[in-house]
Formats: sequence, structure tokens, C-alpha cells
Amino acid sequence: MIVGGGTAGWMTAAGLSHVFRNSGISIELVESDQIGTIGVGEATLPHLRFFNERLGIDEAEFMARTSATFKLGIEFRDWARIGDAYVHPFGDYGRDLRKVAFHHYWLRAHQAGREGRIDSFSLPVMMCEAARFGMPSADPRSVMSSFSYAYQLDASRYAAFLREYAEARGVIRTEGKVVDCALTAEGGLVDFLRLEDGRTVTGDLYIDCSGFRGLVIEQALKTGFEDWTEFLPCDRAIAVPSRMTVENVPYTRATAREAGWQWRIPLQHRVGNGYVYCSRFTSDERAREVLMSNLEGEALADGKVIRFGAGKRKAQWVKNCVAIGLSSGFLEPLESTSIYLIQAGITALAELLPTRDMREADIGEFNRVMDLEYERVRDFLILHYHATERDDTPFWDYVRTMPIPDSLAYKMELFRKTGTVVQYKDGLFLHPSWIAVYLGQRVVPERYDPRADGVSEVDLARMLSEMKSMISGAVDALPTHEDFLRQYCPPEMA
Amino acid sequence: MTQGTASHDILIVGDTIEAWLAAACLARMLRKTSRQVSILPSPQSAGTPGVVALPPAMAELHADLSFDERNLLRFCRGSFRLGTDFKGWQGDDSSFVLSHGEPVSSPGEGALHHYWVHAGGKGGDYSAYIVEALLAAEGRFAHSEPGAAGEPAPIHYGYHLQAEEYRQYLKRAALHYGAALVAGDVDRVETAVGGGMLDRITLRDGQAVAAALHVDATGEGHLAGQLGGGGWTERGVGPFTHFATGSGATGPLGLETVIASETSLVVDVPTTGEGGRTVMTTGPGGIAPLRTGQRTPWTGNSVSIGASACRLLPFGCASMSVALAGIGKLAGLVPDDGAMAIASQEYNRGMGMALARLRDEQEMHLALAAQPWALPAERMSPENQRRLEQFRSRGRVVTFDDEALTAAEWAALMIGHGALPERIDPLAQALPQADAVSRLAALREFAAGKAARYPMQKDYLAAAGVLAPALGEGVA
Ligand SMILES: Cc1cc2nc3c(=O)[nH]c(=O)nc-3n(C[C@H](O)[C@H](O)[C@H](O)COP(=O)(O)OP(=O)(O)OC[C@H]3O[C@@H](n4cnc5c(N)ncnc54)[C@H](O)[C@@H]3O)c2cc1C
Repeated sequence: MIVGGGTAGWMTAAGLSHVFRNSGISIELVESDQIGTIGVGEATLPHLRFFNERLGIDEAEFMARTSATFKLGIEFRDWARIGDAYVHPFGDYGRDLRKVAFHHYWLRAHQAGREGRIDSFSLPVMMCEAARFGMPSADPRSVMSSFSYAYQLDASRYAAFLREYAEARGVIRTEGKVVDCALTAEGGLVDFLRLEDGRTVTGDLYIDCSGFRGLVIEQALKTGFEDWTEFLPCDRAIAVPSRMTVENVPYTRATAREAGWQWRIPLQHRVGNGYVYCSRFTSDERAREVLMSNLEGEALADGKVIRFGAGKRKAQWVKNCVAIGLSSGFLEPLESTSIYLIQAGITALAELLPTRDMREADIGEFNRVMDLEYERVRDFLILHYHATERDDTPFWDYVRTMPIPDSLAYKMELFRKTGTVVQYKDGLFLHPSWIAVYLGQRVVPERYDPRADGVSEVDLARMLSEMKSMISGAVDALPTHEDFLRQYCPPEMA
Repeated sequence: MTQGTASHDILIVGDTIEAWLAAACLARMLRKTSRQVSILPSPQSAGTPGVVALPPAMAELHADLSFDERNLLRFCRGSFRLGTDFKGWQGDDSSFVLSHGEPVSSPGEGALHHYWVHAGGKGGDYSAYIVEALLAAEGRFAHSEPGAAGEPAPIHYGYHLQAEEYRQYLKRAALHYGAALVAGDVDRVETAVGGGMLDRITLRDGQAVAAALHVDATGEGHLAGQLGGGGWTERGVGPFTHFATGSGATGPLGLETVIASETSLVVDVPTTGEGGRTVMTTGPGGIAPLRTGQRTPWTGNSVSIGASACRLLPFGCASMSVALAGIGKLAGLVPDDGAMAIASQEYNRGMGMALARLRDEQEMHLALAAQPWALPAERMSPENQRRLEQFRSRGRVVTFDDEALTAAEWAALMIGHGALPERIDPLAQALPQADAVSRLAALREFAAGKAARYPMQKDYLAAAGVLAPALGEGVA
């Protein structure tokens, strides 16, 4: 029994209906049109491609139906200093040589004053700057294999698209507002849900996708929340769509503002905008003013204030209830991680879904996997705020000087001193992501790996210039992002 | 540092396999840089084992060193290693081969073992689905399937080498790549004020040497033992307290055998030379004490690698996996003075995980044995307990950072010792049992058909000219 029909609810319904298509498991979803969904969540990560692929969804059709565009990364403006800009791309920088990561070679040349930005060695960054797009190649020898991509999409259309998919595979949807969640006398498990009109719905396992309110996991089961606002202080957002006035670019933009940051997500038919801010440092009125005065095109709605707090449920799975989506936690939308976390939850759940009996072992493992996901994303997000030189507003001065988790302090120190990026097996953000943000926000290593001296100066210069020209050559041969979209997934296809 | 002390950038101390391996790797890696790698081969290694088993990951390191595989095998009178035969672990005459390979395929979505469990005993031996395991049991080998159409799948293998020859081989490589030899015998190791840093090493002839970074590859922690904070923690893996090594091994080439009894483990490693046999016992019996344990590898300006850092039980690829992890991590973290503290912190963090995972592997074997000395499961690491719990509960293979085994190897290990999932993936469950049984039979036939096309390893080596003695040959 899935409670909620936002992105989380319908992704879960679609995912599970596909995985368990022949297993006799029946899936129901209850949602309330009256309450509606949060309606934001438009920028994604490359993992979504694999989710859709696994479901057998046709990409072009999906993109046309959700008015989606391609996303090669996020451009960050004004984060470390006003005037700074860099792209965090979905792809590698250069090519590693003799087991030494490329950025050490770049650093060697950079320190000697012979190389400028590392960006010239990233194909997706160069594609972003040229607003061009082409499909990656599966051939590892091709420079076109060095990147991946995600989508920028209309969240409500995506939910509707998945609803159609799930319903076609037997998922039963019930319209109704849940007003009560009854627990069993013994064990305090979820027994049934009562709807406003008096009907009751019931299931063996309840998947709470009810959004921030956490209808089952929190309101009924009182799981508790781990608050991370100390490190990620932004707690409000205003979202406003606007008319598209300029060329459509294949990336999301995140511009630092006086008490937070503003997103710009280009879709095919409009631009999604929003200002994420910290209520301790600015007012809702001021925030709206900042957002409205920084739109490129005409605003298409007023935008209401969304309140949230960074953190996660103390457990994502309690008794016979699993939380997926905003009900499980939220880490602010800076790196578009929420939909990824929904996906991670679905994958872990599909692997651990109880068949006959529900066991502590399943629950413990699910919670371990999800905790790890949340924690590893958390450090990466904090880095964006903390690695700044800005002290021009109280907000920036606070995040610049705030205490950060030891795990992050350690990672930053290691990078600064040795250029080494702490690597995990299961982290969401890998090497290139950390390098992008470190270098983009002026955390520059004092020294490079001594092994990078193993190449002569002449060879290094030749290697670097070859890489650069290979990348610029590849970019020049690509169509513009707009042309590509028009040809690949025009609105008429929907 | 005192006047008259010869100073080095990186000084490796020891005459062990890991000392020369570290010297070769670091010298090769840093040869066009300003850093000099030096080696003081002292104390002369007493207890070099007869043979060493190298894990598959070693092949990559050898490639970095431009080793010619045939040359290496000929010089070290070695063979390709495919896996280990665990005999008698369940207290009866059952056995299973744990190889470095993966099942040929799965009958449906999800891993093979779910379907195998679903077949309820009608799926034959689990190792019958893994080409490497089949080859190992029969003494066959080739790098890939002879005459296979298209791009043939490579075979996953390590090596079994005569240890002394391998040490000599590495020594030549180290010197070839420019490691500077420091002649002499260690007399005294002196620490600086506070005891956290090595100050200098005085040699028997009265000379002294010092280095920015010392690598303790003595096998016994001769340097690390002098440093505060570098203490050794005895941590027995199981109840084996004594051991002896000798030559002579039985079994097919490429397959290590570990025979368990109520009081001992006997490890046979065949090579094309004498091969090696190690006996571990639960009581004295007149042989040398077996010390397992580890220390924090990097303290101050000294890093312990290999047996100086960690000793596990001498079976499988344990000792070389420890050495490989240590050298691999060190290669990425050779610091300047200013970064020593953070580099050592990162090294110790990474090695802590890598060593824990290697220990997990051995502890899992010991915990799943049906022998009086079996390790109680609750004495395993929390990670390993979770791994076993998850596998038993629903066939889920949990892996962690810095894992030495693949998920497929972990599954084969647990199944081999009889730890079976109680529940399986619902997708596998949804397939009618009769279908699972017939698909599995087809897969076994497929794997067996593949395996039969491989030549005997002995013949393969002979055809490659590896069996001819070639003393006096150098590194490629
Ligand atoms: C400002 C902001 C920006 C974001 N940007 C991004 C982004 O760029 N990328 C990204 O990946 N994520 C982003 N997210 C997160 C993303 O929006 C969510 O992860 C995603 O929309 C999933 O939300 P949900 O389905 O969990 O909740 P919701 O969309 O809130 O859905 C909740 C559902 O539960 C139902 N419901 C609630 N209560 C009841 C009840 N009592 N009875 C019946 N039904 C009920 C509702 O009707 C609704 O269907 C952003 C979030 C915020 C706040």
C-alpha cells in the first residue's frame, strides 16, 4: 500500500510493478487530489536514465511527454566569490595516466602557470558552454564516452506519465484523503488507513510517500527526525515558472543570492526557477523580491512559500512502514539528489521486500543502506556552502565559518594538502564531482601527486593540448541542444 | 638528524618479498621524479615461505612493472592460480572449490544463487557453474577459451610462485628501476624526542642512515616496534597457534588445497617447482608459534607494509593481499614533509578498512567450519556478521568499501561452506521450480562444455616454454 502520489509515490508504484510483475504481489496507491503534490523537483541525476531504461520506457517519448531537456551538469555562479562560475559536470576531467588521476597532471601544469582552468579538459563542461548536445558513445576509446547526462523535466508530468505506466501494470489507485492511521494493539504495526469518506484501505506493507508530513512514518509511528539544519541552514523556498526567452541550455544553474541561492532549470516549454533561502537571514517578502527581480522571462505564477528542514528520519523503515521521498528526509535541492534518493530507496526495497515474513534483518539492512546514502550526500552539499570566501552578507559569513562535520573537514584537508579525493565504493558523488566543486570553489591542492612528475614537460604539454583539441573538436561537431531536442523529442511526439 | 648520517627520501628496510616489491613499484613510479627510492635489505629474511599465492589483482601491478608473465613464471617456477579447494571443513569428506571466477550466467534476473537455492538440491555443485572452478579441479588452464567465437571471456587467475625465486625476481626489478641499494645490517633504530618519529638507523659498521619516509618491510616490524603508538595487537584468527612450512604439495596445478581436521589445517600449494606445504595446528607439537595480528601501519615517518603491518593465517592469498593493499595505497600517498600527517591519517584509514575486509574473508571460513575450533560467528566483525545474516536471511550479498572479494566470490564462499539463504529473491521464486532445475542443468552443461575445451595447465605452460629452467634470465 503506497500512500501518496507525488514523484515518490508513482516512481515507487512504477518501479515495484515492473520488478514484481509476475510475482503475485498486488500494489495499491492512495492519494488525494485535494492535497496535491509539492510540484517541484525538476532537475535530476544520470541515474534516472537507468531507472527509466529498466522500466523499458522509451526515452524520446518520455522526454516529449515531460517536456524534458538534457542536463549535463550544474553551473554554479557566485559561490566562492562574486563573479566566480564553474560547472559541476556529469563526466570526467581528462584521462588518467599510469594510475595517477588526471587532475594531478593538470595541477602540475597549472602551478607552473602553463594551464588555465581544468574545465577545458571536460567534454560536458565544454558542451554546456557551447549549449550543444550529442549522445554519449559506448566505445571507451571515444572522447564521447567521457560523460553522462540526466534530464530537466516537468515533475507533475513525470508523475502522470509514471501513473499511466503503473496503472497499465495493475497498480490500483484510490482517490481519497487519509485522515487516520490505525495501529494494531499488539506490536503497534500499521493496521489500516481511514479515508475522509469513511472507507478504509489496508496492506501488508505501507510505503509512506506522503511528502514532508510523513503521514505514517512520523505522524502515526513517531519515528523522529535527525535534524541537519545546523550544517544546511536553508529552510524555505519559493518556486516560480517563467517564460523561456533565451536559447535552451543543457544544464541547470544555481546562483548564490544574499541568503541562499536561486535555481534556473530550463524545460522545453518554460523555465523553472526558485529561491532557496534561510529564514534566519531573510524574510519571505524579501526573498520573493529577490527571486522576481532575477527572472529572465515573465513569471507564470506567483509562487508560494515552501517550508522544509534539512535532515532525515531516524529510520526509513519502521515496523511495516517504509518511507520513500520527502517523507524519508530532505537535503535541499542544490545537487538534485532527492529523486536519486527516491530511486535508491526503491532499489533497496525491491531487493529487500519481504515475501512471506518481515524480518529485523531486512529492516536493519534497508536503514543501513539509506543512512549511508544520506550521509554521503550531506557532506557533499555542505562543501558548497562552506568552501567560500564570501562574507558580504550575514548568511554567507555564517556558512563560511560554521562548524562542519569532521568527516568533511577531513576530506577537505586531505584534498588541500595532497590533492587526494576520499573515495568510497558506494558514494553517489564520485571523484570528478568532488574535484569540480573543490576547484570551482577555490579549494586548490598545495601539491600534486609526485608521480605526475614522471612525464616530461614536453610530453605533458603535448598530451594536454591534444586532449583539449580533441574535446573542442568533438564539441564543434555537435548540434545545438535546441536542435537536438527539436529533432529527438519534439512536443508533437507527446 | 645527526651529522654524518646519510639521508634518503624513501628508505625501504627489509629483505622480504614485500620489501623488494615495494622497492620495485616505488622506484618505477618515481623514477623520472626528484625522489630517490632506497632499500636497506636487512635483516636478512629468515623465514621466507616456500611458495606464495598471488591474488588476481597482482597481475595489474606486474603489468605496471612491465613484467613478462612467461618470464616470471619460468623464473619463479610458478603456475597460474585459479582457486582453493576446501576439504574437510564440514567435518566430513565434503569439499568445494572457491575460485576467482564468476558463474557463467544466471537463469533469470538476479544472481544465480537464488535460482540454485530455489532448485532445492537439484542444482548440483555450486562450483559447477563457474568455469574457473571447473578448470581448477581438473588442472586445466588457458587465458581464455581456445577457439571461442567472438571476444572470449578472460579467465580470472592469480599465481602460485616459488617464494625465494619471486623475491629474487623482484630484487632484479627493483634494481633495474633504479632503487638504490644501501649495504649494511641494521644494528640500532633510534627515535627522536617523544618517540613518535624515527631519527636514524645505525648499521653494524657504525654508519647511520635516515630518511624522510621509512618503509618497514622487515616482516617483523623492526622499525615500527621502536615507535610509540606503533604497537602490535595480537589478534588471533581462530585457534591455530603453531605452524610449520615445508615443500611438496599434492593436487592439480593451479589449485591450492586447504584440508581441515579437528586439530589442524594443511595447506598445499603446487607449483612447477617443489611446491609448498604449510601445517597449522591448534597446539604446539614442536613447531614455530603462529602470530596473527596487526598494528597501525603508519606512525610518524614510518610505514609498515606486509607482515610488519598485519599477519593473517597462511592460506589463500592472505599475505600477498596484505602486501598489495599496503603498497597500492602507499603509491597514491607518497607525501612531502608538509603533508605527512594527513597522508598517514588517510593511509591508516584506508588500510584499516582493507585489512578488516581481508580478515573478514578468513574469519568467514573459520566461522562456517563444522570443527571444534570453529570461530563463533559473534566474534566476527560487525560487517561480517551483517554479511552472513543478510546472506542467510535472503541471499543478499553485502559488500563494503575496500573489499578484496567480489560479490560472486562471497556468495560462492558462503554457499561452499553450507550457509544457504532461507528466502530468495521473489523474481527467482516466481519461476516454477521445474524450470529453474532445467535451466540450471543447461547452464551446468554449458560451463562444463567450455571447461572441457581448455588444455591441461601443464601442457599449456610447456607449450609456452615456461617449464624450461631459465636461471640467469633478467627482467624484460
Ligand atoms: C524547493 C524544492 C526544490 C526541489 N528541487 C528538486 C530537484 O531539482 N531535483 C530533485 O530531484 N528533487 C527536488 N526536490 C525534491 C522533490 O520535489 C521531491 O523529492 C519529489 O517531488 C518527491 O516528493 P514526494 O512525492 O515525496 O512528495 P509530494 O510531492 O509532496 O507528494 C505527496 C503525496 O502524498 C499525498 N498525500 C499527502 N497527504 C495525504 C493524505 N492525508 N491523504 C492522501 N494523500 C496524501 C499527496 O496528495 C501527494 O500525492 C525539491 C524539493 C523542494 C522542496
